[in-house]
Amino acid sequence: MKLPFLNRMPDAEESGQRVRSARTTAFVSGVFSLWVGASLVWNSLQLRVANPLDSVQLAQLKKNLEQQPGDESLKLQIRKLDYQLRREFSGRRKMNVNGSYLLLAGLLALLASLKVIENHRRQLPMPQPAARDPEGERGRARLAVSGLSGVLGLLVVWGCLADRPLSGEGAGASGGSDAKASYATADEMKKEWPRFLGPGGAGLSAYTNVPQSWNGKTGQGIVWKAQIPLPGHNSPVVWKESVYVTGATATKREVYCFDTGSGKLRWKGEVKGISGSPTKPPAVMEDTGFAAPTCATDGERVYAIFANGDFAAFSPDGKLLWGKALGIPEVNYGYASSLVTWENLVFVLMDQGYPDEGKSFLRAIDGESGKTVWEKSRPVASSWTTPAVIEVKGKPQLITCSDPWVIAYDPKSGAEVWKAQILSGEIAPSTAFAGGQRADPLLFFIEPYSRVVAVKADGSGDVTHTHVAWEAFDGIPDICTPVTNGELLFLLNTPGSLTCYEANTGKKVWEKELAMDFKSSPCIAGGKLYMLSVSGKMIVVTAGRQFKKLGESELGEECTATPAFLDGRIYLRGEKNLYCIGS
Amino acid sequence: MSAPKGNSGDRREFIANGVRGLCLLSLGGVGGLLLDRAQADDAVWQIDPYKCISCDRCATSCVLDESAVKCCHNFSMCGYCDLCTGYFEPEPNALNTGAENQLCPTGAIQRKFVEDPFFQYTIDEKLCIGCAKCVKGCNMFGNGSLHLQIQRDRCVDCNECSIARVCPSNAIQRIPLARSYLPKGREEKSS
Amino acid sequence: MKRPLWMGAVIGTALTTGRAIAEERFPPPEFETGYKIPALKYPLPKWVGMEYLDVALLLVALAVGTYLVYTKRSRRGLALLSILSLFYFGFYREGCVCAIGSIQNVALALGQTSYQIPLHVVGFFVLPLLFALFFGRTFCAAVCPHGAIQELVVWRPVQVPRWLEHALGLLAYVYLGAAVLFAATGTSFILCQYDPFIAIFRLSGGFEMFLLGGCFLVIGLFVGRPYCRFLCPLGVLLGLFSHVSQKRVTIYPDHCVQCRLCEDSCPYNAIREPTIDDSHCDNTTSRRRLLVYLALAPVLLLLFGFLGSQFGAPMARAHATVQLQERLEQEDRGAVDGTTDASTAFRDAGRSRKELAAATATIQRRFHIGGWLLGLWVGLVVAVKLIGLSVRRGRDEYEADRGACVACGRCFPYCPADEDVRLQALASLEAESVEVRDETALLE
Repeated sequence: MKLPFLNRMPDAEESGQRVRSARTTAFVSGVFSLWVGASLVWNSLQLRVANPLDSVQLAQLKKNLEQQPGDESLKLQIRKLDYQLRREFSGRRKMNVNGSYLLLAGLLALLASLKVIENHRRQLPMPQPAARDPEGERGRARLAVSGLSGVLGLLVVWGCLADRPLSGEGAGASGGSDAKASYATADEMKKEWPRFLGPGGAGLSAYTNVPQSWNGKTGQGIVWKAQIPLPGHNSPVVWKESVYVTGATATKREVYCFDTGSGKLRWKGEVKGISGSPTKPPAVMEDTGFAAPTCATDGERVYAIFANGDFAAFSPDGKLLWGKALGIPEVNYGYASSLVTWENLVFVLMDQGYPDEGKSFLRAIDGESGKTVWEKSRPVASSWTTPAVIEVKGKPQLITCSDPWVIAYDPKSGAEVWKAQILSGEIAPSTAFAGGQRADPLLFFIEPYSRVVAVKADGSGDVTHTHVAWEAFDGIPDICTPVTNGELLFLLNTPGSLTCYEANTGKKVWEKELAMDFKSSPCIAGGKLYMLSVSGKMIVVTAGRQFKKLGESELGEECTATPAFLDGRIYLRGEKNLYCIGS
Repeated sequence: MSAPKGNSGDRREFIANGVRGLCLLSLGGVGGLLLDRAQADDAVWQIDPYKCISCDRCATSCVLDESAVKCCHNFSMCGYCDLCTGYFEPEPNALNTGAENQLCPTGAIQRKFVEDPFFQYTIDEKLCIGCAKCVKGCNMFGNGSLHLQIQRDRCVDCNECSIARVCPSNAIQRIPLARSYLPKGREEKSS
Repeated sequence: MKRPLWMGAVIGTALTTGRAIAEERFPPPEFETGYKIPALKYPLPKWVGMEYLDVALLLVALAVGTYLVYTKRSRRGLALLSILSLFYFGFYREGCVCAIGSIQNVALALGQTSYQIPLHVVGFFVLPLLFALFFGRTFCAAVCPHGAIQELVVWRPVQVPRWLEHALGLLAYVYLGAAVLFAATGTSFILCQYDPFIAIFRLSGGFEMFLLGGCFLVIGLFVGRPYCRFLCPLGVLLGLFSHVSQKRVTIYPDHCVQCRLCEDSCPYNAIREPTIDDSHCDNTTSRRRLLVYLALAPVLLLLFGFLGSQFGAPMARAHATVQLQERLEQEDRGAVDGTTDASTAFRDAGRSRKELAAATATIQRRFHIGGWLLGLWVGLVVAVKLIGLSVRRGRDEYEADRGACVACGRCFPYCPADEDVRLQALASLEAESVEVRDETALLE
């Protein structure tokens, strides 16, 4: 700070002594600081590498104790080690604090003594006539500035390029799927019966000319009848000239394709040789069987799943395209959720076990490749429901219902759109909703034996307390999915009580005891409500504000599957046979 | 030689004055705008216990070696359980204070018998490291009376909280110094 | 292994979702023994007025510093003030909020209306700039703890070549621009995150932070104030302001005698020597070069602006919201395995994906625009620097560079024109010749 020639200097001896002591101080404080610093580094690295609080040894001892809960010596050992570890932890921490003060002091002393030495070393300024070259200096500076800015620019370019692949990957993937739409459009779907409960899963037929009466015993109104080789409670699915059903026993699983014109079995495909397929058959109840889930088609392929979790895709001419074993679902009675397609995706809903077990999931699979596109773990218990894809404000939603959550997903990404904690118990009926478009579509959910809940589908996040429109408690089904035409909602329960509610308000309009058992779900075609009883009787009533019976037809075979209603035809699965009804 | 220099000097002076005036104006403008948006009360960092997911980042990410975040206990929410899931390991060997049964890595929770079958649990702040193990246990299976808060006497009020930077649930936010804490249970969930 | 039955019951009643917000599963007991439930107590906050005391002390320190630079011209006084500031603002107040960091608060307040900037932070931002506008960088001289710690560790300074100094000086401008962008978008306070000295002030912090601070201090032994000169964003603002300051730091009290004694006294390369007559140089070349640079300037601005806008997307990734959105997208696509704490927390909280996507889009748009502005800023700085380096300025005295001088006063005692210096020199003239000789002998 002070220059020798500016201030009175101390005499030589004094200054010499000062420098000597400064040197000693510098040396001592330097060594001290180095030592403290090194031990601090070592200490903090130790805390990082082997934090006493995360001791593996202690965890191991605790694990041992779990195996031998009565071992007193083990307990003592744990307590001793635990105490040691805690001491070590707090000791190290204290050392860090004290050490940093010591280090600071050491460094201050070092710095001060170094400065003293430096002050004594300082020479008089002896300016030499320097050969300065300001223009050259500026030139070099210009070069350096341009060089550095060039380097900065290159770094940014490199940063952008290095960043590209990530976003490019996503763009590439979505570009690939856009390239060729290998699935039927929504309009094509509406003309067919591509899944359980028809297009979209609403239970509504696009046709008004659906037959109303027939007789199975006399053959009146029966176009054809064909035997289905293996049993199954799943429902027929129709696409153009093909009717698809599946059948299975404990050991064999098959998909059948019948000709809509003649009823001839066009092909049957066995689902076998799938790697990972369980060797033991699943435990199922007879009422459910090994082939309860209905197959689904996107026009290009038909997909089938069975009670043991074997899942396969067939081409329209019966070739097995791909198959995978999803494992036996842990579902009481047996697995019963049907498949659903949307655009290129097939959705498998596997609700199993208890809500907190994390076993339930919803998986979206690319129909063409069989690869998983996304999968969501679901915090729900077992269910026997089938999802539905609806459209809300121009955006698709995949609706699932289970105990306790009703969750709507974005079918494309699997992101949750909204959810509501409204159901409990064993949920078998799927959601009912009106086709067509409304700004805030109502969805209807059944809590078996208990209540029906109407939920507005335009929410986001948890809508439990915000989007429930109404609930009602009469005539609640346990198996059959209700059906609605937008104005009225029809509930049909197993013992045969049919209840009509106003869809918007939940006001009960009428109820009627049909006095027979139902397991198949009611559907609406041409303003008429079709209900197929377990005994094989089809009851047709007007889907209106007054109960009016239009017809009753006998099939003469037990029925549990829901029929498919198409252009002048009904495809109906009995216990053993597939029927085509029409004229 | 000297005359033009003087001129240029004056000119430079004039320009400098003008620019300074402009700087002053803009500084005043920015300052005024800031004062308009300013609040007299200082803002401090605090954890919203309703957003906290009880990860252990509070223990490790604070700039202080001993984190400013510690566990607090709202006794009025506590169930005084014999089997406290904030105190005991998930499957405790026995319901006593043995080290083999305790969840807290530093033994910072004291368990004291009140009356049958109730026990009082108190946090020893000196020992707590804010690892949230007990908070997680209490929230998962209990009443959630244990919660983390930034201790206002310990926090050094970093301009940007280094825990907030890594908090996965955005639970750490700036609040007015007058509030200081976001207590659990007594107030409505803060927005 | 026996698992207590009621334990199972407890777990059975556990929340079905992962959200760890408990409800009252076990109602608080009604005690029979007269046990009183203790109240919930939190430790009391520190004293509220501290921040305002800080602003007041900042003002005092600035005033004292200005007095020491202009009236007393006392290097010793400034060094003492540095030590005081270092201990108060640095070690005692632990460095937060500092004037450097306040730039980010200001940017955040201007960028996001929801952020309410504390009053004292405004003070920390405005006061040093205001002083710079009138008195130059007196804040840097002895008030800023970051400057003070570097000032005090200067040991054997080497002169950084001037071309390198010019080039490295760019970094501070880039750092300032980036800090403002990241703060205004609510991304992070990078100045605080990468502050080299804060860990030393607090004597705690991560190992990496200490390492960074240590490196800067070790470099600071040989290169004066490395952070201030090559990185400090506040230094940029103060430097710009002090270019037009009302008063300026002068090496000499009244006039320069061109004795050249001060030439090497500045460890910060801030002394500009008088220009030599180089009229023999080719004027047309330099004039042409100037024209070329002036023409190039808009191109440079646009180029950097465009690069910056392209860099917006990568920079946006630093924002937690964007990170979360991308993570969720990846998880949806199945591109990554498992979930992160953040994605789990997001899903469990049941927050809307749409809102998150909208927020992400807003941030990305801001970064795109901000990238343009940052790029234009860097381009402007480079262009102005290049143009400035192509203009010859005449000087006939030794001068302190208005922007670079931190008013540390190291050059004051070197100037024989200073009256005090002259008096002291006269007083010690007698002993001088002898003792300097002794001194050199002693060191050998």
